[in-house]
Amino acid sequence: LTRAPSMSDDEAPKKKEWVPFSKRPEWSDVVPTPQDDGPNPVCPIAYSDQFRETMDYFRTILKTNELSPRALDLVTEAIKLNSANYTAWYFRRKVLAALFEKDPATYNYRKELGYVDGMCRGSPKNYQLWYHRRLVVEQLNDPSEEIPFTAEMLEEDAKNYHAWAHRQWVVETYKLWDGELPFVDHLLREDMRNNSAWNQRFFVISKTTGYASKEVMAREIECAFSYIRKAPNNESPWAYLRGLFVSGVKFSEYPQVKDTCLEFSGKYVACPHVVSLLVDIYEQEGTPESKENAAALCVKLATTMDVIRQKYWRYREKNLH
Amino acid sequence: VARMSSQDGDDDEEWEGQTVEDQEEVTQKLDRCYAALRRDASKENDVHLFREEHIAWLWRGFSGLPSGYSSLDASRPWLCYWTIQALDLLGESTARRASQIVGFLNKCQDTEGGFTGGPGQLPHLATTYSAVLALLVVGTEEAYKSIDREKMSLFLHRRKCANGGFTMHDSGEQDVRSMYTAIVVAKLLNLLTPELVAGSAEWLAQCQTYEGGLGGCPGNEAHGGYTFCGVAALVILGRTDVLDMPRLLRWVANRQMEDDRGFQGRTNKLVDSCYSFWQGAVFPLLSYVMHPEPDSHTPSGWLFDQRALQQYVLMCAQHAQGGLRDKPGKGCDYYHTCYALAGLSVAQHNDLVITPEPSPYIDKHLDGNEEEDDDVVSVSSSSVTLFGPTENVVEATHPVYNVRPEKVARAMRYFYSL
Repeated sequence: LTRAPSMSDDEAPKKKEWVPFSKRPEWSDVVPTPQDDGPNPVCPIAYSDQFRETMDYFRTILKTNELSPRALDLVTEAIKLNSANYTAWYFRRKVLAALFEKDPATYNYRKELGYVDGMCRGSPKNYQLWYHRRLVVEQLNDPSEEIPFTAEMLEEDAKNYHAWAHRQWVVETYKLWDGELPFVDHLLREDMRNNSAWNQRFFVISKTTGYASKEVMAREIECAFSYIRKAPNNESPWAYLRGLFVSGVKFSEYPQVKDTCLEFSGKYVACPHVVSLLVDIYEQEGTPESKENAAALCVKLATTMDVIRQKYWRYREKNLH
Repeated sequence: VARMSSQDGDDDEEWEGQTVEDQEEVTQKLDRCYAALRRDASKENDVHLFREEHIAWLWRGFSGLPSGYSSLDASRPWLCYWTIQALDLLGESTARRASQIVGFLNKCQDTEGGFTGGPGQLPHLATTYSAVLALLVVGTEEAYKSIDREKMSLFLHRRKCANGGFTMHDSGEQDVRSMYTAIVVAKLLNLLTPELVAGSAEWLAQCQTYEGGLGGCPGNEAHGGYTFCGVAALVILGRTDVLDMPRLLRWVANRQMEDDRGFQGRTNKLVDSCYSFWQGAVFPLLSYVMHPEPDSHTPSGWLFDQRALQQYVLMCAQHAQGGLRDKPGKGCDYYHTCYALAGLSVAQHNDLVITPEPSPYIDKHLDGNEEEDDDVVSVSSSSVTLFGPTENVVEATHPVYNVRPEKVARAMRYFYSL
């Protein structure tokens, strides 16, 4: 990835000595704008000199709307000092748009992607960064780096919310569905409790084959049960299994669900998830006997198996259909 | 860990994976926090809210923050709101600083409408939300008048998107937070029009996942922060009909962790004190939806273990020198202090009425002393569920706005008479 000239030099062996703007000849024509906090600010921050001065100069170019190469350098420094500064990001996009027109060889979205790539790795939980990356990808209309990039970020933190949201946007916008289910499987093999991966599974299938077919349902039911057998107290596959029936499909259409739950209730005797699903199944059956069964299980959950949720289970008991 | 070790899966893989590792690290720390109580349950009366320490720490922050807070330089109204709302929950008035707060927030008000992250920055929905809430905490006519409502209306309309949502700022991102912040500001300031919220409820409905909670955008994983925002926004709009409530209730009830006692933000993730509010406040909201006119038959309190949540906040999230934190091992910060205390409040107070409009119930709060009363109000035992001594009671908070209900009522009386 090539980097724009304004890319901060993170990879230099030594940290460069910061030169105050007041001492930089190329900025001698600019009058800094101090922050107008008023006489008595609330929660004032003890900025470093570098922070204060950089922002003083940034405020000036923002006011004068200077869209130049040196403005890009300044906005890069401002972002480096506070990557959550959404005003700086907004202004960066304005500067870039102007520079892209004037000098597309030096300033272009490809180079910008390189810049934001480096920044994202440093601050993986920053809204502005991920959003900026999305805008750059949209402009480039090239998602080819996004799948490997998000995969890398998820390698470091498999539940990074921004990474998953970005990946979902990429996959859906550019129809990159192939390979997504294998990716989910890979992550589940690494950590079957990764609920984000389970969520992605639901996302991919619901937007590709859908869950209407008996083959898909049977396969996914078995997928959930296979993970449940490995670790019955893992809530994620239970939530997923229940999720398969959210669309209105009845448990009775897939008798293996009830059968397996009954088997599990004998095997995993202290597992509340088994009993919880049986409550749903009995409730849906709708007979007086099944309602009694459901109520009895609610009481069991409230009194012994899932005591922290006793108020919820008492509520369920009283409100069974 | 007790729960995790009680079952044997079919093979040796059961205990593998990052989730297990991360959870075990937290479990060990929490074990130490709860150890005294486990040995002797009567130790409960020794578990104190460090009220004076938190108040002192909060005032220090109000006066000045170290340079490490530069990363929140685009969130100055948030810092102001977190601090004064936390003080308010602790019964500590900031009335003597009213003009100072109003004056500073006015420096963050954009001439074209909305509030910015700091003087000279672009207006942003989240900082607008926090500035407006902070002004509600102040609660004076000077505070209300400082808001340019006409320009605010224009700002809100500029944020509106064709798909029913809102962008956080000019060419900014869109998600459930922007929806909530825009709708709250509009509602409080009497700027809510059908046009402003056209399509909003329908867009929010798409954010409910198969799990039952809401994600940031359609398809995203169910998450406590976004769930709170989405449900609260729909309560304001009167459109909770677009959600599957039983599924939502089950999801949020499952987010309270059996051993940790506090709430996690997502399935199989770690406890965090801020979810004490984001997840905890969903319960009174759901209760309101299910029983809009509470009567003597409505069960009191919420469908989660209120004492257990209080145990988490008091025994794991408090720093003895002042301030609250995510979990043991993390540093204190003003965000966690605000939301841990707000969660504590929800867990303590059973009888919140949420009618968004000024109502006879809420107006009743205003019949008494108009001035800030710093004494902790003694409440009847049925309206409070307590862990620890009665000195631990904090003020009640409104579960839609996270500002004291009387402050919401007072503000609405002002803005709805304009």
